[in-house]
Amino acid sequence: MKNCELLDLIGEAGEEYVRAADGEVVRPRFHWKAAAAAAACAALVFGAAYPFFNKDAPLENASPLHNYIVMEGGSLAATGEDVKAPAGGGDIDMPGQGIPAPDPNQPPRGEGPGEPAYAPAPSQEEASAQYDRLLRQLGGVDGREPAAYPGWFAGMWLDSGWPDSVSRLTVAIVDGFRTPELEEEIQGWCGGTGEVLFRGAKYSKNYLDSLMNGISRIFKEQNVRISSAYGVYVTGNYLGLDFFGEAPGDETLAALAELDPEGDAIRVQVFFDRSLQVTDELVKGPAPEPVDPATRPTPAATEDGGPLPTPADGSGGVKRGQDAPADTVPGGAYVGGLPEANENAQPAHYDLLPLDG
Amino acid sequence: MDDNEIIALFFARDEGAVQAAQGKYGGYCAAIAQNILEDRGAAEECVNDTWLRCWQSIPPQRPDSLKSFAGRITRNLALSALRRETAQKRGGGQVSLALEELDQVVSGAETPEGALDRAAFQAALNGFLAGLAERDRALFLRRYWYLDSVDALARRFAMRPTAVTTALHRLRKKLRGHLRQEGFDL
Repeated sequence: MKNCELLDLIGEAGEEYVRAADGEVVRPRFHWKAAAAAAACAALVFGAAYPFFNKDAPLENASPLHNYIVMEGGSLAATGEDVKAPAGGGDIDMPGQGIPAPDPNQPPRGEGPGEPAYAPAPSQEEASAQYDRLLRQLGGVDGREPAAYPGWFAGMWLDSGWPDSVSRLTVAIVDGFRTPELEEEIQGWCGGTGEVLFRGAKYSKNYLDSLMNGISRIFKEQNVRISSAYGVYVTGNYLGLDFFGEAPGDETLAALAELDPEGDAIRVQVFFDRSLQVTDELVKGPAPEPVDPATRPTPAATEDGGPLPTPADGSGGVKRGQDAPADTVPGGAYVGGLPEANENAQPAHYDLLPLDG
Repeated sequence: MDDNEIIALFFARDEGAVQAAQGKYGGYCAAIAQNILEDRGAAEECVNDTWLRCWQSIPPQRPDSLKSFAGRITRNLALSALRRETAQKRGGGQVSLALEELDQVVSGAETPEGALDRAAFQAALNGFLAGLAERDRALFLRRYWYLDSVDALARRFAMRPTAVTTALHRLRKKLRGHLRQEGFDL
């Protein structure tokens, strides 16, 4: 067969094929599946290779870490990287969290107009009664908090009572729920004649309470041994978490960041001041050395004139107040006044030596 | 005006059928002729001859697709015209290139008169085309039916010219294997 014959015969090709060949241009397909599989393989390879070739390099930013504030001596540490203040944390309560920040709109106690330097405690009776009534309304029993608050509730507290020395109940309402109708209803629940103050808040009390469970879980899972304390501070609308003596590790901070993605529901502070460290050594002092009963000293007399213990060796015997030497009295004071100058005054502890016949 | 209306005019022996067909498929047929003859004047003459052939063929024929019918006539006329013009020489152009390429498929020996069953060959060819991917089929027909240049194919299919050449070589090899498998000693 000659090529021209074949070319002619190709002209006999099926009509539908010829039409289709003149139709839409068939562009090369992009093989999404193959591309996705290749990308996934590449990610696996690079992901596995990175730690292999960077054994000494930490995996920076592997996961976000929660902010924390370093406190030294009851104040914010002023050194650069130790201070990891949260974004927008300009209203940090100082020196210790848990203490509500002074209301900038109110002068310090004792500095109000016509107020004495040491103002009397504000009257809280009316506000306390309102507090109790609202707590009952929200499900509290016998002054105890309910298992769960309404979603709008962010906390309540009594204010400082300035300027008229009468505390008022302040109720925090989660943003978005705060309406005049709700405030009016709360005022009705509180009863009484005292005005109830309202304040907006970002987080509900339920949410902040739930964070405590999250922190407990983190501590348990990570076996965190750092001395710490945490609790909800309704006035600041956050959960305060204090570490004493040691900063939490990155693993803990990463877990806290996961628990508090926006970084403002949990306020983490680290106290390095030894006076703020609660340890057995500081509270109780060093453990006393064991004392041999045979050498244990015996007081000269009891303050109430009771019987003195008998020395273990049987010497001395029991002496009552009237039997004591005339120159000794309980406490070792000299009868008849202090020694004269230039006399050999004995140290006081000599007076506590066991009495002998 | 759709194909049926144009064909109806042909059957009615209305000369408006030629004008309607020219208006609708004149460009299409001219492109085929231009691919083969590579001469605008010769291509226009070829297209005019196409409508004359259509006038002579319809009726009695009633094509399903006037476009394919006219295109096929144009192709045959253009190839015949090209053969007449190049009887004394192997000229350039896409037909010559296509023929060189098709040399790889055929032996080049004379086919005895009546030795080829055209119907069977057409079935084998359509079987080959049916077995191709849509894109490969279009590429093959654009090259050997429409006689598009390699550059034109590269633009049309968004391929590099070398990739077009490689693909066509693979398709010719496949066609040869298929035709031999179907019993055609080329």
